[in-house]
Amino acid sequence: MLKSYFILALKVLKRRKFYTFISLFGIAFTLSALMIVTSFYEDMVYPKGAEKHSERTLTVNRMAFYREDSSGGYLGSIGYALIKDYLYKMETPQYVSGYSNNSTTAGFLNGLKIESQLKRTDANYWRILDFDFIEGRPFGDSEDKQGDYVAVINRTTKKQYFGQQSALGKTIKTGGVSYTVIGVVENESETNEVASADIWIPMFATKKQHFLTNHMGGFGAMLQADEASNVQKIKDEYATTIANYQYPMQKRFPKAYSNAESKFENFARNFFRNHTKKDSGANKLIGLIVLAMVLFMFLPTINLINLNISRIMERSAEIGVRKSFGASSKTLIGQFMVENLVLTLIGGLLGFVCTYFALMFISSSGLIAYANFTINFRVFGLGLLLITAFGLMSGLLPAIKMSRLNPVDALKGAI
Amino acid sequence: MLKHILKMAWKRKKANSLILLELLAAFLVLVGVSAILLHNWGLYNKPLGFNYQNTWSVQFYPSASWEEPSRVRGVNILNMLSQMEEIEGAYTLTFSPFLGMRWNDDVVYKGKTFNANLNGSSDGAPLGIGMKLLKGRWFGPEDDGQSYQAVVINKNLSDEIFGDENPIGKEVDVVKYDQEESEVRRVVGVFEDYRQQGEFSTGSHQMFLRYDVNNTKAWFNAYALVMKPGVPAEFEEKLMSQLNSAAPDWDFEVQTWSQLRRLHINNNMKNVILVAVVGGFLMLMVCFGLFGVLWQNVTRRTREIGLRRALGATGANVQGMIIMELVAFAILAVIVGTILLAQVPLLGVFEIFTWGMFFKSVLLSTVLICGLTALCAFYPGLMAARYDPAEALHFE
Repeated sequence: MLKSYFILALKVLKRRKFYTFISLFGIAFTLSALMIVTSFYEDMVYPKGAEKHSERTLTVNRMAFYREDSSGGYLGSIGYALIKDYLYKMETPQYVSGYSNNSTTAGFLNGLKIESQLKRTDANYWRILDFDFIEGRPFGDSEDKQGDYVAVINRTTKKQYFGQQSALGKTIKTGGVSYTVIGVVENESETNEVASADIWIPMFATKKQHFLTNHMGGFGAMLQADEASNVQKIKDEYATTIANYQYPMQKRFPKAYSNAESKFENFARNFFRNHTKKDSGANKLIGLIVLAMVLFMFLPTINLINLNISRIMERSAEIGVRKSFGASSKTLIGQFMVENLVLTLIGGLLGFVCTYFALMFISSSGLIAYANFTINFRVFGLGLLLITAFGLMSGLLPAIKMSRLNPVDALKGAI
Repeated sequence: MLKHILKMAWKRKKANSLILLELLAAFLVLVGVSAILLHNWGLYNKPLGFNYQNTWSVQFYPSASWEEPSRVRGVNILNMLSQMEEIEGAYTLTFSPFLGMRWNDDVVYKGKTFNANLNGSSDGAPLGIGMKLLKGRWFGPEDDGQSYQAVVINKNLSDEIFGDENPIGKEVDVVKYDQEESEVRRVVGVFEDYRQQGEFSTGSHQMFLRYDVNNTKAWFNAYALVMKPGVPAEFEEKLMSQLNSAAPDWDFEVQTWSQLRRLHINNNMKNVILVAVVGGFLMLMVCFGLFGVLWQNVTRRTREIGLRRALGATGANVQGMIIMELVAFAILAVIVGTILLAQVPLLGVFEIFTWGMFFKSVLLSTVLICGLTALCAFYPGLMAARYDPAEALHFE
């Protein structure tokens, strides 16, 4: 039965090429827009590359110092003093890592300017993050503490400075300072804020030492648990740490707010500009995304419903005949639902193709540096779910409407 | 004619309600998209208040904290830069534009507190980067050794604090971020604007503190260099080597303001373009959809149209009727949509959606949706106009 419906559906679609084209265009566009959003979300919640163990890792990247009445004050990154005096002394995390925010640095090669993103990190950074080393190795604790002028660079930087040759042991000069290259890693997408940089150097490989006592700005930290179930303990310990945090300006800004959170929670917090509440608003954000997606589907759905109704009315004679020969409303609804699902499925497949090319375009356009968005099985599954929902929503109303036609009227074509 | 069309539409209200709903949704989307585009277009066209051409920014990061030796060195570098033949004027500027950095603090006047975006520069910088003076004068050497510290403020801040009073010579308390006491500052001039956050930022309250190169102890971390016309980009390497030899243990970052501006515009345009593309595709889809529906509609009404032609309606009359029917629907959707949308500025839900923006975007969207529906109905209308009455009457 289903098979004959399926064949019938294809025949109908082939006969009315114009309607089929319009419907497919709408479906493919809608679904690819939704799937692109999904794969961005996917990239954020389940990052690929070096941040792939993020379910055990919390990041700290915001600190707010507010007045007693919680009005204005400082809002920005944490300072190194917090990492040095408090975070390294925490007990629940397996590893604690401090790193600087990226700064832009410029090197000159044969008169050409090469701009790179420079990040200073400690040795734990390389233990927590899972970098893909093309050659060489990361720097260790002693190199970090002594402030050796060594650097790990990414694939693109290696190519810019050294071409196809091996970079190991060579010198890279940027921002007027020379570093010895000890490792080359794969490019990391700019969307992975913690892992992304072009050049990584040890935290102490700098002559500027006043960052040691600075409480405001410039740094971030990662706290990694040995297993995912201990993440909550770290959050709790961090909350206690912040409650006991001593800093200058405390008299004028007695309230310090900061949270150790997952990547998505951090994103939600920044999105809602909510820096004082305990709850990050992650659930609220998910709700908002789902709502936005449903609203976005509204217009295409009505559009498709209208088209479907038109298409079905055109076939009123066929419906009349089928009804006169005893087809029940249920059978007819079934038939039209199958037809519509076949249509959405084809549109969905087209949507997948469009999404694939759109993501490839976004990744290669350089709009987001080193972006690597892909359709994986999770996005694929969600896409299929969306397609089915879309097909059911846009097919049900026309099918019911059609099944209620009076056979006599339908045969005459007067509706 | 209109009455006739509305009567027919009402007779088939059930069948038409979905079309109306689609047009309503399309109208709402159009208003949303056009409000975002108009808002950004308006911001983009507002004057920046300064010239970004020919100006370079040099950020520096001293090797030790900001104390006397660092300050003297920073001033020496400034003097060195002023001597370079490619450079027309070298100034200290705490915050270069387009970088997204800001320093907000409280300004107190007659017991009332206002929030201002603070910046600081050496004498001559505001004029050098092309800021426009509206009242009073810029700060300069005449403020040396006075009992007050001179500041200039932008028109926004002046209007907010002083209203209709003459701001020149008035004194305000500026609370300094990292200190507990405040300092008295005297307003010596009002300038048009300095949109530090770039073209896509909304109006801000700006105050420029005078940075007295010889005496002020406070920190600064950037220079603004106004270049002579025609200085090539390669000058950067020479500049860099001069800076590095003057302070080998400091980090310097050189960027032209044009570069920074381009980056700022690109970043903001990404979102605007995304909204425009998605909105455009949605409209294209709606157009295709309406076209399909109308086509079927015209086919179904073949006999009716044949009758009209037989009774003397011209082809143009029939086409006009088909187009008018859909446009009338669109207008109905616009009316309903406008009533719904009026709630947004009424309740003040979105900051950018003010009454002015409401009228502008509703007007633009109305024109667009009427135009689009007319375009969608054009071909089906033409098809109807070409029916031969005799054949159409026989149509089964």
